[in-house]
Amino acid sequence: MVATQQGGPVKHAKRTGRKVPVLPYVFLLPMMLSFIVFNLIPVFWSFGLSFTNYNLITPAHFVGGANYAHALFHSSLFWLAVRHTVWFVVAVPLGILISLSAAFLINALPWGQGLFRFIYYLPSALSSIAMGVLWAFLISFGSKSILSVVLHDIGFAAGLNFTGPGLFLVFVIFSGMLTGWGPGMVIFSAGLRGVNQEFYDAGKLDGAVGLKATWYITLPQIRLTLMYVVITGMIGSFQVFESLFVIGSLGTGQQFGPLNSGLTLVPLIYEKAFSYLQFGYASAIAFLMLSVILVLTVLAMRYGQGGQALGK
Amino acid sequence: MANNVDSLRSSRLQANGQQEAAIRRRQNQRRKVFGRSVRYFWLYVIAILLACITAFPLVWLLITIFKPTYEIYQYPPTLFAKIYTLSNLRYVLSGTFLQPFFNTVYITVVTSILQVLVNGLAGYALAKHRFPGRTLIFYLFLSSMMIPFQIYLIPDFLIIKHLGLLDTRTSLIISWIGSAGSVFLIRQYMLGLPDSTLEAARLDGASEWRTFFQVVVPMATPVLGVVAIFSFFSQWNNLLMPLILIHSQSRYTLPLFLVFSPSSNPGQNMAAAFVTSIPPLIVFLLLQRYFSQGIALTGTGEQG
Repeated sequence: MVATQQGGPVKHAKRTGRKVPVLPYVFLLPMMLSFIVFNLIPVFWSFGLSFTNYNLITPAHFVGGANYAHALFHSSLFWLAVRHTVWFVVAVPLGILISLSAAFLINALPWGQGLFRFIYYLPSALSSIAMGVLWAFLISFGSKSILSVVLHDIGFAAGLNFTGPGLFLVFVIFSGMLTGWGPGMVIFSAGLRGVNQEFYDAGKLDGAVGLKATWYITLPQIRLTLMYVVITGMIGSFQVFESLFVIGSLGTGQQFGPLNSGLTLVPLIYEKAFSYLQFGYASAIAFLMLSVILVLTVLAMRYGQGGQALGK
Repeated sequence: MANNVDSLRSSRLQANGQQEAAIRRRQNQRRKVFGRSVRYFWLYVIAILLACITAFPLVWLLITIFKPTYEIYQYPPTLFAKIYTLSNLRYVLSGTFLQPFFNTVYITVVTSILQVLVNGLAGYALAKHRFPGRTLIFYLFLSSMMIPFQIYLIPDFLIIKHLGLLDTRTSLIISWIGSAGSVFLIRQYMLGLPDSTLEAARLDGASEWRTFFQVVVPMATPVLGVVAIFSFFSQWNNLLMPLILIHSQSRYTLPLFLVFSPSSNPGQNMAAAFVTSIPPLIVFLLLQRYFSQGIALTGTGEQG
């Protein structure tokens, strides 16, 4: 960490004559308060709850690992949510392929780069909730929805019903991809511009042009960026909730789509906790999810700066 | 981990690179050959196609706002209408919509200001002060960034309940102020600020607080701008917290309002969705400069 070496001690602290400076603690106090109350205590609280049957009304009783055992061995709903979540995670590389291709495309354009970048980024700059409302409108009325008709007009099968249990999950994944590939494109576009032109000039001498140059020069150069975007994208897709809730509620009339077809892990946590008041069981599911996310996050920390993408 | 000054410097170098690229492009154009223009033609065909796919839902949204209800419900649906009306726009000027709108504006603006202030001070202390426990606190923040927000959901609800703040706008603000990610970002940036400037301010007799507000804040504007944008976006679109903390319709935020109190007229809903999108768009356009720097700060940092 180069940066740490630069952030040397501040001599001023010594000059005040006190052994322990007070002011830094004053600066940290508001953040620490917020951190302790809403982050630190909750982690332990939540972990404790996951071993109880707390339901908000009757006092909590210790139940050992029963919640974990129930989720892992007796709940088909939990595994259904896991399967649906895996769908979202698996779709991440596909979305990133779109972002990367768009970045290549944009950087290759002789003019109009700014205009196209703006259009491609627009859905991501708008409110994600509003986009959900819009998608819900476009698929409501089932097989007679606007989207079904438009897709039929451009050559797809007639009467696709995105509000049915068969296509709801696929639709939410694709609409999210269509709405959300802008930031990835901007990151890659900057990364591609950062690739030293000399590498290409040198590559040309060795016959690396076109796709070959892409494969042997560009991709290795942006490898870290690529890994970082893939891993943070996967972490994000583990936590998918909003789009399922908005499109489900408004488009299909059921919170997470018909017949639990859009139930993933976070919706399951939300439903167990706040519809059935099974706080202990919901906490156990949250910690099962955490264990997987931790692995991915450690990878992300290795490949990127961490940063806001991992915070709230 | 990348030094942020370096990354800014390299973005300036990139700008030079862009100029060179532009010169190169111009040279290319001069010796334009037939094959090249054919290739460009296909590139633009793909680019325009992609733009159409991206813009299609947004265009449909915009036109729907100006359609009368019976035109929206007609089957098969058509993009353009025979008659256009402004009546759906009246809905977003009614109290029904303005109440959640101003609730959201209030919560989002206060959260963003407090986030910048609270996390900025913390980041400054961690970057430019030496005190017992500094490393411990830093690693505490760092490791908390690995924990997904959903872990906090249930205890946060219980804490807000115990504080007697359920169903208040304050609950949404205080649960969203501290962000370890923001502190980390600010600290990393502030490490790169020159100690000599801070020392000079102190020698001139400025208090620590004055040094922070008049020297550190102006120098750290890019990173504070990034934190402001991110907290604005995340709070404006915050659905999960209001979902568990807010019950009264009078305290609904826009996400709650859009999901739980939709109008029976889709045109009005599209108008509401459109107006909901405008503030994030304005913030994005105004602070776009910081935003692209933010992507440089968060996304493309090389590993150290």
